[in-house]
Amino acid sequence: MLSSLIVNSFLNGSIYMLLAVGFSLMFGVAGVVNLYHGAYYMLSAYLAYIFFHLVSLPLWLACISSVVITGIAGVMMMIGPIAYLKKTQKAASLLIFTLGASYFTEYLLRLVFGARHYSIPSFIKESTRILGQNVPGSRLFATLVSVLCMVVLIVFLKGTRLGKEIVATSQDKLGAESVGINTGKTLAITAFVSAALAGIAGVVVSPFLAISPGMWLPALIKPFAIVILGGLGSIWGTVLAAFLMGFAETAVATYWTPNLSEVVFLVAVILVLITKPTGLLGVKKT
Amino acid sequence: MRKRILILLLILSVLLLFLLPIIRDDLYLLIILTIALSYAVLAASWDFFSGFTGRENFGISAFVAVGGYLVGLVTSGLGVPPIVSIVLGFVLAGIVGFLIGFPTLKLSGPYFALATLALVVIAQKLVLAFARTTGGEDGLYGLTYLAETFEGSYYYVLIFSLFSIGFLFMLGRSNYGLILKAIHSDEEAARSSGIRTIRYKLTSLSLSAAFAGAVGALLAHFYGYIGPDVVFHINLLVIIMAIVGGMGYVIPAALGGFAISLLTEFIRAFGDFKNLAYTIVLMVVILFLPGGLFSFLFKQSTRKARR
Repeated sequence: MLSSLIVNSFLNGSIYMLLAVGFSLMFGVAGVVNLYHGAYYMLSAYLAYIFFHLVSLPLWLACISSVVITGIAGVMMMIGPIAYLKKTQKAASLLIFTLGASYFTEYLLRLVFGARHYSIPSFIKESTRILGQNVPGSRLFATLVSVLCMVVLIVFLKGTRLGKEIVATSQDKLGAESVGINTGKTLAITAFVSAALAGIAGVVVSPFLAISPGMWLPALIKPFAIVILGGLGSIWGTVLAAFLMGFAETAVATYWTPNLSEVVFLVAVILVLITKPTGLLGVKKT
Repeated sequence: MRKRILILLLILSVLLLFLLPIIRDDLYLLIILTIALSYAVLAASWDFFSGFTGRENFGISAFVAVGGYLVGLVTSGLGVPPIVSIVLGFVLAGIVGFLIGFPTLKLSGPYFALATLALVVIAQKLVLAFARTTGGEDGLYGLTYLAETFEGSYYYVLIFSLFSIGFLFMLGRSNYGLILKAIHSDEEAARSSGIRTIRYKLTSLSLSAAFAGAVGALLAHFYGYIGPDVVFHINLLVIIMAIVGGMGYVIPAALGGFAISLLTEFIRAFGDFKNLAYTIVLMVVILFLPGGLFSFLFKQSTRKARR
């Protein structure tokens, strides 16, 4: 029982981490709360389905191209409507716009594909045993990819020039511009990375979670709650909160009822907000 | 001059709404007008908080659910008259709004948006998880009707909505509304001139939520039914109505709610295309027409009132 709890929390938490880190990056660097984030996840899953089943590409090519296209969609969103709205109006209409765009994507996919559930095959067919638990290959693959992406992302942010430019922009946009960083470019790259991370999450969960037109909303609210629980702008806080969420959900689902696993976590987040508004590892900034 | 014509037009259309059941004996028209009036109140109440203070409330259907399900539970148990459950829905939804706003409105940043989004998910899951009391996906049937006849229900809703919209409009034009707008344009400045901004934001949110709860109760009594399909699609729709109508003046948002609700009836046959079209309209209006369709009616008159 306990080992199943640990294994499953880790498997779920790693996916949440992948989604939440992209969301957090977009907020930290561009200052944008992008409610379209869950839709990237959905978009990429549907694209993978289209490329694999309808265009008949090989699985790896279908997955990579859907992630890349999702990343490009993220850049378009950033340099198009988001940049325009940030320039002309109060940032608040951004929230409504991105939420509206998510619903637009849902209704569009619903029109084309209906409410049916789809899936794509897994990369790893065989299941393995971890801590005495039977873990399906698709879920193991999803977790491995998430952890790998996280490592690559941190190396990219800390180790490369481009990554350092992104971090600099997130710390002080004006300062970054004054030392010659093209912040427009860094914002576009951030948008690509953020959307592509959500896209990767969408592709790796497709073998075991249904691809359906309603899948974007949980994929938006959970990362949002995780980022706030971890503390806005703190990557390690986000990672910690993602695994806490994985743990809380799994624990509630195993010991109480699966129906309320999300509710318990969201209520917990609201309670944390009351006592410590900056989140677990957030820095005080009012 | 333009103001007088507008007032005249408004009075005439209200008069028309009152006389309609006498002029035309059309049940279908009465029903869609009743629904449109309820939506007008929802859009107006959304505007009263979000349009005035600039903080987007994504949780309106949770407040509607509080009112609606309260009716379901109270009526099935006690059989009290509609007015009691509407008042109860008003009070309880207001309290829920206060509880959500209290921790999150103090903070700048996206905390409030998350809390309201989460609220809807929580409400949705709770309705399904406690299916024995809420009826789950099927909802609750056999609630007390608003009035004996459809005409009676229509007048009930008409008077309720005129009163609510009028109240919110007057409050929005008073000093209270001006303070909300001051908070919207510069919260720091408002605070430093001695305004307790949190108090104003909280009362505005509670009022907005309370009216949403009252409409929830009203709709539950009108349909004689409450279920997830009544409540949870309201969320996006009300935001679209208020934005397309125009924010910050209550009446444009209410007109948006009224017009879009009627339009929805006439293009019902298009099904899923209808929803898609609405989201496109929403995005286009935000990008290219940020004031909304009807706010041109009011921009002038508010400026005069300030002088």
